[in-house]
Amino acid sequence: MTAFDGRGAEFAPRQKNRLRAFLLSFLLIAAAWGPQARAAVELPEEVVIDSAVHENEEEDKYLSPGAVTVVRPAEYAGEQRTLPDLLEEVPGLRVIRLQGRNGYAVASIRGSTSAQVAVYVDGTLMNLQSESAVDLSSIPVDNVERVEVYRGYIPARFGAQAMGGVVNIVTKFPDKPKTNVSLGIGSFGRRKGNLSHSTRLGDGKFFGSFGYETYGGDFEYWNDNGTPYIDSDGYTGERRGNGFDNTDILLKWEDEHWRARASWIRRDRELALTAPGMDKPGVPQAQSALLDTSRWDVSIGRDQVSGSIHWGWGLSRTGQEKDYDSRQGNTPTSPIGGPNVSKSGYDSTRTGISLHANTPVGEHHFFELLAEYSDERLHVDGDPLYIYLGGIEDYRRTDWNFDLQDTITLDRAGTFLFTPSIRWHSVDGEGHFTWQAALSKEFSSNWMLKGTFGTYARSPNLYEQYGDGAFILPAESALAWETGTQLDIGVIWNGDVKLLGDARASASLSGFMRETDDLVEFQMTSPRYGRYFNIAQSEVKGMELQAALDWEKWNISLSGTWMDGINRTPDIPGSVRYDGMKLPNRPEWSGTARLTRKFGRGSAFVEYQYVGKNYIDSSEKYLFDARNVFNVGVKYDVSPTARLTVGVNDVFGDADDWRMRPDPRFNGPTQVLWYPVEGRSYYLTLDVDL
Amino acid sequence: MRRWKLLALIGIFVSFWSAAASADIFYSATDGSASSFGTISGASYTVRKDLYTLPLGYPTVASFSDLGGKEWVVVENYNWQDSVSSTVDIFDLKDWTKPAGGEYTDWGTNIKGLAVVGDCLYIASFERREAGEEKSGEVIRVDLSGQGSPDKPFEPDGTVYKFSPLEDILRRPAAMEVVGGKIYVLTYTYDGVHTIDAGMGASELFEFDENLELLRSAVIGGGDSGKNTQYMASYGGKLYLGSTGGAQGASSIGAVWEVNPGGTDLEATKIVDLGDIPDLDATARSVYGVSIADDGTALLIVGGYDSENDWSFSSRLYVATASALSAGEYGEPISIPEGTYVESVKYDAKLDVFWCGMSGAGYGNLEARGKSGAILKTITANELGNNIGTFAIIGETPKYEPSVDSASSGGGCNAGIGAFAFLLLAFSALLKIREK
Repeated sequence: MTAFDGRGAEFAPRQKNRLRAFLLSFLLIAAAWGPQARAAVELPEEVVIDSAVHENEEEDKYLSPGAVTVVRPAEYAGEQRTLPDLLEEVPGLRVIRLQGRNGYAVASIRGSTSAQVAVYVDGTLMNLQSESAVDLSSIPVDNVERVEVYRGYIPARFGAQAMGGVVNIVTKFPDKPKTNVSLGIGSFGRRKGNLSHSTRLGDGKFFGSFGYETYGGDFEYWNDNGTPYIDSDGYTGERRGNGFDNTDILLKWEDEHWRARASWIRRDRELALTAPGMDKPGVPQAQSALLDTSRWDVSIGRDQVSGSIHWGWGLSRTGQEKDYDSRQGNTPTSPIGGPNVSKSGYDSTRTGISLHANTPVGEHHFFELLAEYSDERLHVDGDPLYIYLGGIEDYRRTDWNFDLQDTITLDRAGTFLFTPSIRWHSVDGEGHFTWQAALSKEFSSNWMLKGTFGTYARSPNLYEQYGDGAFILPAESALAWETGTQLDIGVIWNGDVKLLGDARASASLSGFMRETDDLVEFQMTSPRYGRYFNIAQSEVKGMELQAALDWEKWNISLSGTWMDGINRTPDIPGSVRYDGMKLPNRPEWSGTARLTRKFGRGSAFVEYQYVGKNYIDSSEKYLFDARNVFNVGVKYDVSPTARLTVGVNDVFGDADDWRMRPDPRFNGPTQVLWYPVEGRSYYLTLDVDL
Repeated sequence: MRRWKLLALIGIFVSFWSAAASADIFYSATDGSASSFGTISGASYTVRKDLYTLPLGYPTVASFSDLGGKEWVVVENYNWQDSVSSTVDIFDLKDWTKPAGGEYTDWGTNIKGLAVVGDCLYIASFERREAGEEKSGEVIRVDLSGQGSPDKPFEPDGTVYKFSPLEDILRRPAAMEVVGGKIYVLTYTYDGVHTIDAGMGASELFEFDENLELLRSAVIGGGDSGKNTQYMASYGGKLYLGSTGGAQGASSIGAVWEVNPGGTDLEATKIVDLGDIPDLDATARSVYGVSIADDGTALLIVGGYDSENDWSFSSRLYVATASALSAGEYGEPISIPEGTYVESVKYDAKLDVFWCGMSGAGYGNLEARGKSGAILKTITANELGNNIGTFAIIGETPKYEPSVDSASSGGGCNAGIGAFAFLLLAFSALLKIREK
């Protein structure tokens, strides 16, 4: 296998300009505020990944100089939420699901591609080179303490090339010994259980968990038989091929200096066939294919303090084995890949080493440094390798990453901060420099203003560079890095309000804009094959709102997004039009609202989720319907150590009516979704602390 | 003078009306996720795009005329997964709000050709799909003489020829033509189990009468060069076939074959061996299309996958004549835009042009080329609504009717000209009456 053609580490003219602009602004600010740096001012609290739980949600705003939202699964405990379900509560983040509610799911942040979103679990990067994006449905959340979503400015502690944003998942690590069992059942054959235990071990603390979940996924839905103009041949079908079995194990230990972690996840999933004309009662059906994924990671690290420098290192090894099986043998209509692909396997292993440090310098500077190296190897096996690609089976990629961030306090009160950061990322010898800058000002204990601007870059992954061994060919030459800029400005307010009584309130409103050049996009290049090219450009702007109101017994939380995602790819002269078209899968409006009422030993909630209509294609021809979903549930403490949760999702069965339909400007049929979604469903969860 | 101005205005109006009512090309345009459909009409190449849309990529389109000469166009909702057969939407060219008679579910799956013989329409279908099973292709007959339901005038009449497997390998129809009242269906075989090289079986030509009784059949060639023959054109009572020579990689060497159905058998004679083209590289050793005009001018697509490197596809376009092909000459190469390739070619007798569907990264134009191969008109993907998918020549379904005179009087375009002529006569008569 050959690595990417190295282009050396020289800056392109455009990068040089960005570098100059950054250095100039950095020096001006430093010069202007240098004298005051000697004043005795309190520095912002250090935030380190894997840090303890933020007891006070108001501290969330200090996690990043940019926009950040924290979702705490504990608030949804017992509701059998998946990670994609939780992320749908986050403004600016769109979950794109394939094959139904429990199928493959990826995230788009502020209109980004899913490949531009980095996902971390306890500091371990989940993005691997064998796939274009992280499948969020494969990450269990039963033992998650919080999910942080960083948009716009990416703090230096995240080394990944996260052009879109970062989803950072932090698992639980109780300080006290505790054993918890959670058992749940739900509609359509859902059964799940989770056992966790935390205790003191040696000089440190230990946490271990085992989880299992199975889902049949067979549900009734209306199938138009693939003939939307014929009313008489529709039928109620029973959806098949949606099932999965998940097993996960997590072990963690840490003391004052050392930390170690190991996890293993196995997800065996059916790959549902598209619905129109399928699932007829009494008619034998073709088997759906299987995708079995095993994922594991082990890591060890040490943190220590030397003088005023807090520093540490980490070693990690991550692996994933992904195996497809058509279950039909080699057939021309194999449901995986293409003709004659029966089995294929993608095995990735990545070894990484990192060094991080932070220290105050003077009284106005707080530096954070991250240096990382990783080596990832991908082994491809199975039919596509030999049928189409002549047996190229091993791929390799090495990454270097250096991040430096300085938090500069610009006033004596420590309420006015300037946070520049620079990042150097090198992949197989080709390096790129990017920078970010953030300004934040707390006007009072209630008001805070944040504004960020920066440049971003992402190297194409192996999947994009070398294809998938089936229908995606290796790129013609080394793909160029995607580059982009983003800016946002937001206001955060916290305080007490008199509204239907005394209430504690918080709200944030952000406006953002991002542009991306050299987007790596897939194009068909022959009747059978396609490959990735650096051809696309996009421009996304929007607004994000997040708000919460807390009364003694009532709570309201809201989130909403308005987004305008536009394809800015120049039209190919004399050919197709791209510029000005809406990006697919980016709804203009989306939002959630949740009302909770606390009572005696429990609480009840009602939740509304809205996702506006959005195009399925890049030429504004076809739309997915808007979605209006209501969920309700009740949580009741049957004893001081046991809680029962019952609930109904999609109370009104809105999903039963979701269709694809042509844009009103065009003629065309309204038809059943390719992958229908189960409508109303019920669940019951018992959660016991032993 | 005023009379001539009035006549000219009427003429312009009626010409526009005729162009809108009849069309020469019916096409699909797609980004791979959704497709839209449109028509191209007249010598001015008037494009009407986005007449209808579907949420799928690469649907097949076709056209046919009924016994009254009315033109219909066909959209196949091709389902990529096993167990589900395609549905077919049939449209009146004047009504795009929904298909006439709803969907048809028995037209087979992956339509490879339509032909009319006498009162019947014949459909060459790549395969038959039933629950959990796929079967060999079929030829399906539709009685156009009004025997079907008024609501479903184009339902198959039950006469079907089902191809049996060839040594357990499914036979797949690839093209259909009509010569002298007989129906000719070209099939190829690929077992789908082995690698393409090993699994590629023989291609065959089948001859049927109007009742789909099998009259004759023959294997194309005796070795690899006849494998994977998927392209067919008719001219002068003969059939011209194009083969890839196997698995479409660098090791394949395709050929052009000639069949004389009027002869004693259907034996295919290799008339052009692509291995003889001296500067042909490894990426262009297979035939990917052949089309012959009514004066014998032939366009030949020669292309292939670079199986030794990155499986990129490239193709060349050659212009020749049917007689030259018969003499073993493949003609002269025609230049095509850099970075593109010709994906399909069809001759349009009404406009006397060859339509070439172009492809390439981010490129999907439709080109009208004259008989020299020169581009007469490029219709861009933007004008089409998206990258060209598939297209059909309206009013030129392979057809056989006993009376040559009656055959030449049919067709939507002729109907439009007829209406124009009628209106001119009527207005002329009216003006004469006023003069009196």
